[in-house]
Amino acid sequence: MIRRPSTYAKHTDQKLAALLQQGDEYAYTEIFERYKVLLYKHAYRLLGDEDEANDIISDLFLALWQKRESLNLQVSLSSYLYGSIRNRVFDLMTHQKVIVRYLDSIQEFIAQGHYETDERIRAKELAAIIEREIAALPPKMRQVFEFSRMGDLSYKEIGEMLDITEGTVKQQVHNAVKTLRLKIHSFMVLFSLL
Amino acid sequence: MDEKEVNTLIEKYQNGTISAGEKAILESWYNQQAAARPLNLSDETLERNLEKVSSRLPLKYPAQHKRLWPRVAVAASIVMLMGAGLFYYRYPQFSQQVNVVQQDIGPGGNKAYLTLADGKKISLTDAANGAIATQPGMSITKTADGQLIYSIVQEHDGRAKAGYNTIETPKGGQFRVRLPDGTEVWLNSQSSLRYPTSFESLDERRVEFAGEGYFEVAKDQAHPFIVKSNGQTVKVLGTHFNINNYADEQATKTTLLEGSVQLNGQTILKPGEQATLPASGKISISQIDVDEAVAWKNGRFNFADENIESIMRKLERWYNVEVSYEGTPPTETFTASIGRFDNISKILNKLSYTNHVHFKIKGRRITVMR
Repeated sequence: MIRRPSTYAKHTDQKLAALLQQGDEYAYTEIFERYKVLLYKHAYRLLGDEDEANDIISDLFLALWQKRESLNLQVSLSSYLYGSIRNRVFDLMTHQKVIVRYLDSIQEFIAQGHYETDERIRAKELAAIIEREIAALPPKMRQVFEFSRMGDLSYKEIGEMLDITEGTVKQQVHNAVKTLRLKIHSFMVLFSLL
Repeated sequence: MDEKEVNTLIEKYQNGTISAGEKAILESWYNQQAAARPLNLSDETLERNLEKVSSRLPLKYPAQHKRLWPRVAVAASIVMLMGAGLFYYRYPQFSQQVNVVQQDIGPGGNKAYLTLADGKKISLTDAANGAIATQPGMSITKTADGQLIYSIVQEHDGRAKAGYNTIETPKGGQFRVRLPDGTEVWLNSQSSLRYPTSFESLDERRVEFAGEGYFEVAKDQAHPFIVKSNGQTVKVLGTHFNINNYADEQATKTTLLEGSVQLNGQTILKPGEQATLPASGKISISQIDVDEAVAWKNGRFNFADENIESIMRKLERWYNVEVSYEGTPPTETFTASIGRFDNISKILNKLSYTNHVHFKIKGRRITVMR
């Protein structure tokens, strides 16, 4: 097993994306290492075929490297990667008769008629799927993951995920920082007394 | 909704002309599938496939840091320094020669892994010569000169479904395999070939390939031989050609030596021609020196007006080294021909005679300087 340098493993997704844009190969490698298990499982679940999943993941990461300079992330890195997989799965479905595999399932789905028409709620559903998949990772891998991507979500995204407004998220963060400050302050006072 | 309609829907999704309602159907369905489909994937399969994916990507890992060894190494070097000091103190006439000693790195060799249809993985580097495995109706033999041969041992009863085998070479490895139809494939370092163990019941001889390989396809007009590699399909009836589609190279290059091949269902190549297919764009064809393209297979490196980065990528793969640049890489191009089985210092020395480039070797790391 190759060890990663602690500095890259500790970078947030946002930081890694910025470094990738500047052509940092180590950042690119770290993104791959961080997301490979999640994305492979996700792709394999949908495709049920090892070679197809291999192709989709390698094509996605090759494109990520080739397009690094023009990468313009409007959403978090994880949303971007999962979105790319979705496009590639759809792309694959229309090729090489793969669609036949999904036809029954799509037809059945349409017959049931339960669609989610709100685009934001659909995005939230996908985000929830990502969270569930992260939660299913082995504990150690999950922990690294959760730590390193904490700084990655915008207030808006956190709000959407937790179903609260952006303002509420800001307020909560503000409160948390205030509580921390108080605690640190009393600790410092205590410390100076000793 | 039939197949055609679903296809149209996805196409509209891709090119952005889909209506909000239709988009809702597709994305909701996708979410439902992502949430509900069961996952039958063992850790072993996951690991194996991720390794395969990694080998296709331009990943770069920093040098490894292990805890114990640096300390042992420091201790050892102190002992050596003390010893050397004592030695030079006693024999001062030897001190000159020590500066000549240089680190060196040996060449690659016949190394590969074979994955059988049942997922069993065999190291061909370590395997003894002779029969190493059997597949339905087939025996697999490793010969003394580093070659893998598939031969039919008996008429296989019925039309048993042929399984797939995969042969993969690591960095610093190469291997040669003869498939059951008599086709021979030479694999350069960091390459992989996936093929059915029997072509008997198949209309086409289909294989998948990544990396660099030279193919001598056995003639069989009735059963076209098809090589699928990232973004390219080569269809042949019986011919000799070379494919180079390493993930860290700009384009897939297909060079024809004999016969004719068809690329992606349209472009036809003639002997002496090379097709270049960039990651995004069209195939272009040029006349080239074919000896240069297959030099690797004949145990040589031939560089003709090649830039240093391209040369170093080849050395990286064959000598299993990590290359880094100090400052901007030299812009000059280099021309050289040298044996692949020499130590790396020989080629690096040759290149540095030009005075346009210099090298530092440290362990398995090479630093390129102007």
